Formats: sequence, structure tokens, C-alpha cells
Amino acid sequence: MISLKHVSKSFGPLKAVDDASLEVKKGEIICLIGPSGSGKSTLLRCIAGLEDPEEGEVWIDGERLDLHSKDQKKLEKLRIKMGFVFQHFNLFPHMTVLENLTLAPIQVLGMDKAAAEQRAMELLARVGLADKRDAYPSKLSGGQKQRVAIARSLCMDPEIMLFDEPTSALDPEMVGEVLDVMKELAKAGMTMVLVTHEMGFAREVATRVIFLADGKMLEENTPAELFANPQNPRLKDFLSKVL
Amino acid sequence: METLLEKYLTPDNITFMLQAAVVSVVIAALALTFGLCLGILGAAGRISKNKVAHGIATFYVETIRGTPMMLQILFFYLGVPSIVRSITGNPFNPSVYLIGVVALSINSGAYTTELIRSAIQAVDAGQWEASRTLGLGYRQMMRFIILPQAFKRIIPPLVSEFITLIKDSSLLSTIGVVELLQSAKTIGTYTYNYVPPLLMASVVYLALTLTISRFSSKLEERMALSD
Repeated sequence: MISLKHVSKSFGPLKAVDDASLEVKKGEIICLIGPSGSGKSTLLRCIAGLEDPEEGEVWIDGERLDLHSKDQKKLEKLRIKMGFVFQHFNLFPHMTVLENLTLAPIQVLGMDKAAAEQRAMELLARVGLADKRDAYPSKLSGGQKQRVAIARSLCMDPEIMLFDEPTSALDPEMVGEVLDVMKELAKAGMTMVLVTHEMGFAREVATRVIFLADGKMLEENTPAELFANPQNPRLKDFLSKVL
Repeated sequence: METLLEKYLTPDNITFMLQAAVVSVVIAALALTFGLCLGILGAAGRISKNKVAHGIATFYVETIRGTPMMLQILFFYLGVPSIVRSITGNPFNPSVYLIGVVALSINSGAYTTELIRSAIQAVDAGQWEASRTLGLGYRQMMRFIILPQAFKRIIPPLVSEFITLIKDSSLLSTIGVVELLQSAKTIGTYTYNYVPPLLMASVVYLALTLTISRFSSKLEERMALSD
């Protein structure tokens, strides 16, 4: 589904992602872990087409995601195969929850309003927030905002969900409700790539965990193996600090 | 004191001055409206990736903001008619009211351009990113996400731009527009005493500007509620 070929991305002199290659198959749940500044988020943003890698290629579903492509329509079609959940939610503050969810289906997919609203309500019910349909984002708690953001992404029927530290901006008591929604998605067979500091979640849900440091993918394995038998000294050091 | 009041606060003078005040407000309102249109175009140019559009908009903003408004008014009053005459060969004498509105609109447009540009760029980058990951195109993103949020930030400074325009329209008295300041000068000329009419004009200016800024703070309170 996702194929990264020797992707590198720098910000000035800093090499945020250094020669990363990755294959993600349908139904896989990949957790990217590592110390802050290790390039996990940048890697995820390269997959989503939010960053433009200066080297390497990103392929989604057998098609190249090329931000310099002249064919913007094709690029947009590729983009919407992926849903993206941000650390800071990025809900549209001037719209109600329901409007947040229906805008893109109506404008991008051309759904009619009634159908888009019906679908939005199903997804809101799925994340447990059907009663918030007319609320503005500022009236929601952090956990509720993130659940709305997940539902908003799901409204576009993505094949892949990308999560960029979805629980890092939340108060501790709200982390669980968001992780529950993500677990439920995983059970339903969604292909997911996530950057997370929730090692418990990675251990329980991931099919594969990848450890990054200094922009390099240093180790990857099943969660059971990776957490029980870390090989790389950087990973050992990292795990000793977070577990 | 009695005689001063009797001499200056005559129905004629008051009518004259209030009519002139209406002229000031109407000119300022027209300049604000046309300036807003210019500002929308200018801001589109300033954030455009098109080098020509960006260059024109930047030149416009820098030139207008970097030269005195008085000079701009005189340029449209003295300069433009003679340029047009030398090109077409025919005399060109537009009304000073028209010249006033054009000069003030073009001036205000430059400030409004920067105001709109900064309001657009102040919208959190996350909003652009979220729009993109949802597949919204540039126009859709601007229309549904960025501009509605930028619009809120534009209102308060636009109100203070209106106040500035009401005050700056007094410069048009130098080219013969009978606006509020000019009416005070006229009354002063007839009565050989400028102090009372200038004070009267001040009171009218203050009444206008204070009312508008009160309205503006009410508006801000209301908008803060919906945040």
C-alpha cells in the first residue's frame, strides 16, 4: 500500500529523515517510535505528502506521490487515500463538528449534503460523540477533539490512516478514549502508520514497530521481539528511559 | 459666552457643519469600501506565487505607504489632469469629490492589502495542512477554511481604518472639498475667528470617532464569544 524508496528530507543542515525505505502492506499497523527529533513525524509527513522529500520516492497504492506533478487532480486523489490525524487536531474552529466532518465529502467527493451528514453521524456515533454534532470545536475537550478529528478523516473513506502523535497533546485522563477509538479501527482491519510515545499501545496493537534515531531507521521488528530483545544500543537506551 | 454661542451655534452654521460632516463620512465610507476591494486584490497578489502579481502588489503597497497622503492627493488633483491633458489633448477636470474618493481609496487599499495579507498568514499552518490532507484544492481551502477565519481578524483593524479615513479626509479640504474641516475654516473666514469653529469641528470629529470605536469594541466582544 505504501512504499518508501530511499527517502531523505533535510531542514537546512539538519537531516530529519536519512535514507528511509519502508513497505507497508494492507492491514498492517506500523508504529514509529524513537526519541524526539528522530524524524518520525517528518517521515510520516513525507508519506502524507505534507513534506516534500528531496531524495527518494513515495508510492501509494502503486502510484507515485510526486508533489511537483503537474497533475494536481491525480495528486489530490492519491492524498485522499490517506487520512491524517494531527497532534494538535487541526479542526476547523469556525465550523461545527458536523460541518467539520461533511465539508470534504461534499466539496471533494461531491456527496450530497444529506448523504454526507448521514455518514458523518454514523462515524460520530462510532467515536461516541453523536451528541456533539452541533458543538464548535472550542467547546470540546482535547480527547473529544481528537476523536472528532479521527472521524473527520474517516469520512473520506481512506484506505490508510496516518497518526502523528495523536495523544501527545492530551491530558493523561483523555489518552485512553482516543486509543480505544484507534484500537477499534485496528480491529476493523484499517492499515495504520502511527508515530507514538504510547509503548503500551504499540506493544498491544502494532504488527511491526520501527525505531528511528537521527533520521535513520535503526531497528524494526514485531513488538514482542523488539521490546523483549532490542539489539541496537540506541534502542536499548531509549527503552530503558520510556518503559 | 452668551454672545459667542449666539454667534457661532446658529442653525445655519450647524446645518452647514453637519452637512460637511456627512460628506466626510461618505467619502471615508466609499474609500473604505473601494479600499477593501483593492485590498482583496492586493492581498491576493502579495500571497501569490506569480512573480508579476506579487511584484505589482508589493510595488503598490510600498509606494503608497512610503509617500505622504497629502502628496498622493495633490498628485491626483494636479498631476493626473495635466497628464491626461497632455495625452488626449482635451482638458480633464474631474470633480474634487471624485478625486478625493479615488485618492483616499487607493491610499486605504494599500493598508488594507497588508491587513488582509497578515490576517490570512496568521491562520494557523495546521489549517492548511488539514485542508490538504482532506483533499481540498487551493480555492476550496481559501473559500471554506482560510478566508472565513481571516475575515474575523480583519474586522477590528478595518474599523480603525475607517476612523483613520474620517480623520484623513480632512486633507481634502486643501483641494476644495467641502468636508468637515473645510466647513470650520469657512465659518472662521466669515467671522474672523477660527477658534470656535475649529472647536466645533473637533467635537463632531470626536463624536464620530468615539461612536465608531465604541461600536468596534462591542463587535470584538461579540466575536470573542463565538471563539
